[in-house]
Amino acid sequence: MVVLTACAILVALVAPSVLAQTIEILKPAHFPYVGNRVAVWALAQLHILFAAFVLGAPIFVVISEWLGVRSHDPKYDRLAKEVTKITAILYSMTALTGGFFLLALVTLYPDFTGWLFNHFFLIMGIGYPLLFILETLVLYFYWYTWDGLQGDKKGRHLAIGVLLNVIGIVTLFAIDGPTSFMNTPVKAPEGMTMNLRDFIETTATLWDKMNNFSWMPMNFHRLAGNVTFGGFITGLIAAYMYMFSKTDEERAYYDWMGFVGNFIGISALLVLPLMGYVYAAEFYDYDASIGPYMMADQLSMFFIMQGGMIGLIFLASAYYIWMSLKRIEIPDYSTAVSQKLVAGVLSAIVPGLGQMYNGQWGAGIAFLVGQGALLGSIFYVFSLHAHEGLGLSLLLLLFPLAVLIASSSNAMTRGSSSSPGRSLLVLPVRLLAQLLLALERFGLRRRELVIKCAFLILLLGNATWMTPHAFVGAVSSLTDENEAFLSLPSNWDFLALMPAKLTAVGLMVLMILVSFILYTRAIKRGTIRWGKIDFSSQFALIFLAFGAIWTMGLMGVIRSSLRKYFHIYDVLPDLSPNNFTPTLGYSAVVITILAVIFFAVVSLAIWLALGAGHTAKKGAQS
Amino acid sequence: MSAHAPKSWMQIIRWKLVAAVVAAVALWFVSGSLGFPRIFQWMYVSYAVLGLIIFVALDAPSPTPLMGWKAGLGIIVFYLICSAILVTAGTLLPQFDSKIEVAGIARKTVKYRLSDEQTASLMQRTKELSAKADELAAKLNQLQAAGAHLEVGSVEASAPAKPASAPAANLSGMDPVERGKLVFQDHECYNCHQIGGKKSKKRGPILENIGNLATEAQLKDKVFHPKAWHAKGFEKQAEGKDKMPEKFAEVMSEEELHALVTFLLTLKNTAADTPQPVFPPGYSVK
Ligand code: HEC
Ligand code: HEM
Repeated sequence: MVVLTACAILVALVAPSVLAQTIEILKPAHFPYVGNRVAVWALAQLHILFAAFVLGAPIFVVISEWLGVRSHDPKYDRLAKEVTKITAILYSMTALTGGFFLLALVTLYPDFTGWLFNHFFLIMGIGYPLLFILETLVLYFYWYTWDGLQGDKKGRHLAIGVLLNVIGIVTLFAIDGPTSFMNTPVKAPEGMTMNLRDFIETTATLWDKMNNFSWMPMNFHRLAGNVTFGGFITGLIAAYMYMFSKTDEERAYYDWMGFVGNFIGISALLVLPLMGYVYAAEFYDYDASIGPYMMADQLSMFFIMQGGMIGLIFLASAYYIWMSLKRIEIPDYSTAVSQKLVAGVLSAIVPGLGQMYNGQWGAGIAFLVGQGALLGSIFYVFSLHAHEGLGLSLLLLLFPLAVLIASSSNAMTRGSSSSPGRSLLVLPVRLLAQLLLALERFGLRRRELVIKCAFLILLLGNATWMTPHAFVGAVSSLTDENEAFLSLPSNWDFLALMPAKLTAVGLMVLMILVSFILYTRAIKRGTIRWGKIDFSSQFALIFLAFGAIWTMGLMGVIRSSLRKYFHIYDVLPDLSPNNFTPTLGYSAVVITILAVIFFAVVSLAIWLALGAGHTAKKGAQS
Repeated sequence: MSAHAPKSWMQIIRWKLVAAVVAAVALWFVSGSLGFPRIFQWMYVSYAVLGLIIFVALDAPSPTPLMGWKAGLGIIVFYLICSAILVTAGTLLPQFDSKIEVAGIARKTVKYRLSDEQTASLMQRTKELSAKADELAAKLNQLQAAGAHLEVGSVEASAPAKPASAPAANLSGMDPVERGKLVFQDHECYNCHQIGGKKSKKRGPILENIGNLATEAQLKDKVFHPKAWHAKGFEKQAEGKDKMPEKFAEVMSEEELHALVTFLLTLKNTAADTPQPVFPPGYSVK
């Protein structure tokens, strides 16, 4: 493993300086069977999957180690150590795939690679390899000093971990420079009349090229994406180990680890939509034609697929939370999650109603007006029309409202309203409350009701997210004849636009938050029977990892396809035979194969590091 | 979660099934009456089915844990199922026709495949040929005007250049207007500009009447330098996020520009809502 790493580092270090001058004159080779594009695609994707894990995992590993020190709970340190062990193994895979990726670039796309190396020589030729070596050293140092630096010296070990993360993040930011540059190459400043390519080749500084439109958003999107990914892979490790555990202690520990993995993954996942939005906004700003190209033209079905994946990921993690709730023993179940809590959570979402719930009608109405103004300004900013605004606000308000009413129905029906105005206001609320009370009598308990409502909203949000402008592969296949059969009716067009998508995904985020809050409250009141989780939850964990891997593969295809027939968008054309966009069906096959390869390697790493005899020994120690 | 005895599958499914059927029927008819096409209706109905599956899964009795090699097998089968579902979904969704894109790329990359001299000489030849064509057309006009007893209406006579100059007027030997339409496709002007109809729901103005409002030189200037002038009533868009991209001077050849503008000049539907150009004070084409 160490040898492999060393080899790959050698390639990475020696290659750029020697090759920078010579690559450009090489003749492109032809990769047998699959062709040049798929070869580079596969290596780049596998490389980034391993890289995402080895950069994302140390972030929460150090946090977990620190939590272990603070809480004196040995579980945290064990988790940190086990994940680091796997990180070390996968690190060599990162180096290996990276080396091959570089080799493929140089031999299959020499002119482009040479051009890019020349322009980023300081980064790609010197900085990146150095950082890479430094990262390797610190990672192995971190790993090998684990047992030595315990007790008083734990602080030092934590410091090494922090250093590891600093280097990791700098590495990520460094390589994101050239990568993002390929999508949004820096433009000449306003007023300078210069051809784009000439500007880049003669005037732009390295910093100009690094600091392009999509660099920072890519950095942050990847940072959060990597933590999400690391969390879900941790969940996968836990699921595997849970299934193969032989003792109850082991099962309890890995059950806990699965919970932590899911928690990390979901927490980071919740910020991704925002990061993704900022990312996309920078693309739009760079070139406004990219927006429709993604959402309504050639890549729209890819985004449908992404929406489907994200919906499934959200559903799977909500399902996992549900399963986690089931194994919590709460002495006094019916008051476990009190009405007040539910009302409190939801009134944070809908402040006005919260006020009303507490009987402060005036303040409540004021809040509602304020909220209306807020929504209004959101719609103004997104320049929505009134009926679109209405649709979205209904979506936004309806379900939390229903849940709130359900949970506060007792208080409402007990309410002592006497003035006619008030009872008029209360009437529809009461009717709804009666309806939901009736539902309750069917045996739905409140907490279940809330979470099931959350599931409903997840479905609803996903259905909105999945509604395309038209069900066509590209606008070129949308003819006058089929337009009516495939497109949204024109007054519902807004459903396919960004604000609607964001509202939908915002709702989904909210629902996961609500479930999580309910969950943490339940933990506080009851005892968790670790190790007793419903077995099917383990498949939810495995699916989360699978979904994350697949989504990353898909998004990689999207980002690369945004460059159309260019290596460097609008600057350096790709004149090779494979310069067109792969179809979604074809991409799905390639992504699936890559995901399975990745899984096979990770499973092997888990088995090598933790499986086969290790568990019994570890179990005896702790 | 609850203390009572485990339910049978029948008990778990019964009411959920009823609710899902009601939801599916409601979704079908409501979306249908709102004018959603069939394919959207099917999608929404499939969400009702997905909902049924999820809500049954939530209450399903817990399975007996898999152990040892059975767990391994279970994992592999699970991967296979996930893979199969995703590949199927990706394949069933509408696909674009790569042939169309490949042909477009072949046209767009001519600019990069030819050396500058080749392009210049081709452009020169194009100009010469179209000048010759114009000459011939003018002659034809004269002949007609002189009363030659040809049965040619005045409408055709006013646009005689078209048939004469078509074969040689551009690189691909196409009719220039047809060629211009392709450029409009190739460079995705359609994503922001509607052609056909009277009103547009796209972010840029409808171009259906632009041929009556701007000259050839002005249109060429607009495409290569979008900031040169703007459409009336689109002041916000001309500055803001939705502004017309400034990349066409980079990625479009002179030949493409010429054909594109030739095509735009034929768009003369006075009934359409194409906004007037607004030129900055002292504007002249560079
Ligand atoms: C990202 C969207 C976008 C794309 C792509 C785009 N445009 Fe525009 N275009 C606009 C907007 C917005 C305006 C109105 C503001 C302005 O005039 O700058 C406009 C204005 C125009 C006008 C002036 C219309 C008038 O009535 O005065 C013309 C002509 C035009 N575009 C031609 C084109 C052509 C040709 C293409 C393809 C090569 C194209 N546009 C691509 C957004 C776009
Ligand atoms: C809804 C939540 C979202 C999730 C869970 C998500 C997840 C991810 C993940 C895991 C990656 C890979 C990160 C990496 O390679 O390190 C990624 C990349 C990407 N995402 Fe998102 N994303 C979300 C939203 C969005 C949105 C709204 C957009 C834009 C419309 C977007 C655009 C992209 C692009 C273009 C990439 C490719 C970046 C690259 O290749 O590095 N994402 N996303």
